Amino acid sequence: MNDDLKLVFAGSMGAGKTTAIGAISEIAPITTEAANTDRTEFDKEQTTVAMDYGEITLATGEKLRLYGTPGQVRFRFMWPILAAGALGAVILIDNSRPDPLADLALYVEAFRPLARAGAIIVGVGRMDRCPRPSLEDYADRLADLDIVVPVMPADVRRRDDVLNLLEVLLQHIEATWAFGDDGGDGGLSFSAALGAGS
Amino acid sequence: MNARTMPLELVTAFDYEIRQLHARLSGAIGCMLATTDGRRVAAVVDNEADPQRVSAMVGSIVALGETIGREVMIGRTQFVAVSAEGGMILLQRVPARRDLLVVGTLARHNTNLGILLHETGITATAAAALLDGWLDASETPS
Amino acid sequence: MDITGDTVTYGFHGVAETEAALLGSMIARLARRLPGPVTQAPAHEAQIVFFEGSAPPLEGPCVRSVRLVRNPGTQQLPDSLPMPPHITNVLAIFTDVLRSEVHAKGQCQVMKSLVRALHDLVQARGAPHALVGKDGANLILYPADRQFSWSGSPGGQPLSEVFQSHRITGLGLHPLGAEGPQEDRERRGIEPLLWHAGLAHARCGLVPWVGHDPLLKMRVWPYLTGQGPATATRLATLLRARPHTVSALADAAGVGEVEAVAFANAALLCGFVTSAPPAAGEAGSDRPMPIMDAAASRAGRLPGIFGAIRHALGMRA
Repeated sequence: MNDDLKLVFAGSMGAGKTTAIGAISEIAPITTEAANTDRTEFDKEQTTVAMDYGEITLATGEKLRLYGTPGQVRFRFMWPILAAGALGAVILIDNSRPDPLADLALYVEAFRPLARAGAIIVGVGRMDRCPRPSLEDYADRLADLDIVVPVMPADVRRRDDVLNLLEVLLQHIEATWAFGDDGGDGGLSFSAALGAGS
Repeated sequence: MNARTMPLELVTAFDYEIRQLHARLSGAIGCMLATTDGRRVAAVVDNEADPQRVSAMVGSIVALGETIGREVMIGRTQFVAVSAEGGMILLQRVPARRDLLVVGTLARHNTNLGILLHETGITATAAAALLDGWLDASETPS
Repeated sequence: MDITGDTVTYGFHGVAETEAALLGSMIARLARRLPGPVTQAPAHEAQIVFFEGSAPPLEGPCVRSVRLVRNPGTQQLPDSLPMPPHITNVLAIFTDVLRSEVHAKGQCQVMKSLVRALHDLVQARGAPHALVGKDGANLILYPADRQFSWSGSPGGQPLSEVFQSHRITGLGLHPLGAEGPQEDRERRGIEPLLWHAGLAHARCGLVPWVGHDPLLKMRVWPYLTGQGPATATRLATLLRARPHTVSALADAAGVGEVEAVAFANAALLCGFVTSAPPAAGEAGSDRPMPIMDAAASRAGRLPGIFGAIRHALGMRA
């Protein structure tokens, strides 16, 4: 394993991936934004088209690199590129979109190797304005997908909410590792699990 | 601009320019016009490449190229070129008043890069004139 | 330990041998006059612990700790025993504990039957029922819809208070009568109600239908972990990673067994977790795939990485 430590923020357009990275990065996030040419999908001026990047320096001198994926399905080719070798992923879902549970299925399927590895968490935004679907609906849908991962509400404009997501994600990964196969053959790198295609 | 509501006449004019580029460039495998956020506007592709998918990649790569340009402080990126064993692809922004479109040209590996740049630039300039004209018309009160 | 068991246990912590022997023989002589059987146990397992003031704190299931006091001026302090001991003082301590245990046991019988009835009703998706308390506050359960309505919060009594010990003996579950469902009240998902019922049942042990220390397996992420206990998320992540028995889960999380029981009860009642006899499933048989190179784990690098990330983000370890 190289020294890169990577966390990925994925999820639907407008869910707050860039905001979440900005909330915790120690550098001004590097963004690849372009004019949003389809306001019917989400009404905002700019949209991420390649990735967002932020970083945090650890006491060990290593960098924790934070990558945000572009949300639209047409950028799906970027998702495995950015997720290769990631420690874990935060999937952000916007509950005000027309079909948030379909969004959930899309992103969880795309990151299924990480999900099966116990290394993703789902954060649901805008639940205050749009309480449906409920967290129960999310948990049930994940169970239908044969995936059990933490799901919790999050307002990523608040740094504490982002930290809370990361804390549970870290606990989640730690727990997996605590009971994982440490014998060598059981180890499986995410990049290998995900393969080259999307 | 909303790519879905772009008038048919404008899309037809863009399509004409892309076909002209493809016809002018003997080594061309494919030519396309995409929005900077990765939507296909017009495309002529001779091989199996999926124009929708490639359009999204074009948007990402141009954005990455420009981000790298800013990061290393070499100013505004003019074009992005990818050279591979079987050919090359050149991506150039359409120099309109607003950064909304990118021209991509896929050519065989023996194509002269200078000619590729020149011809792609002509199409980018033509597309810019069309886009600016449409933007002017949309912003003028009727 | 089952605190509702018939026998009350006592032990000594940091007490001189001669004093322990003196107290032990006095308690043995008193045994016939006490309202229930008494036996000595190691201090970390005992319900009543006699301790010296200077002894380090002791962790365990102790329900009454009694300080041995030699200063006559402090003899009136509650939960203290003047030394040398008098028969009446020792008798009062044991009688009080035994009575409270009998009361708790009675409450647990009510709690167990109530939770079982709730569970059966929800499983059967039965007809609407009312859960009525002495004070008139009531809940209407709609098991078929997995919903409930009630006269409490928002703004009033929180849901967590419904199953508190002082109310539990007055709670009854009855089929909804002629008054019919109160349709004007907002209906809510039944899971938070079941979750709190499960938490409240922790003082009485595991919910009665799962047997002794079964193997628990997570089926659905328990999204109500924010409602308690405080360590619920940690317990959930550990259980998600691998099936555990409750005692193994408590050990793995480094929390008291009562907290693990509370979490297990709540998750079982809501259906987030399923149970099986310990022999029915091999713990770890559904082991998730690790994500990073095994070499990294072998090198012991990961724990350091998690600590460093938490430190950098200002999180509590």
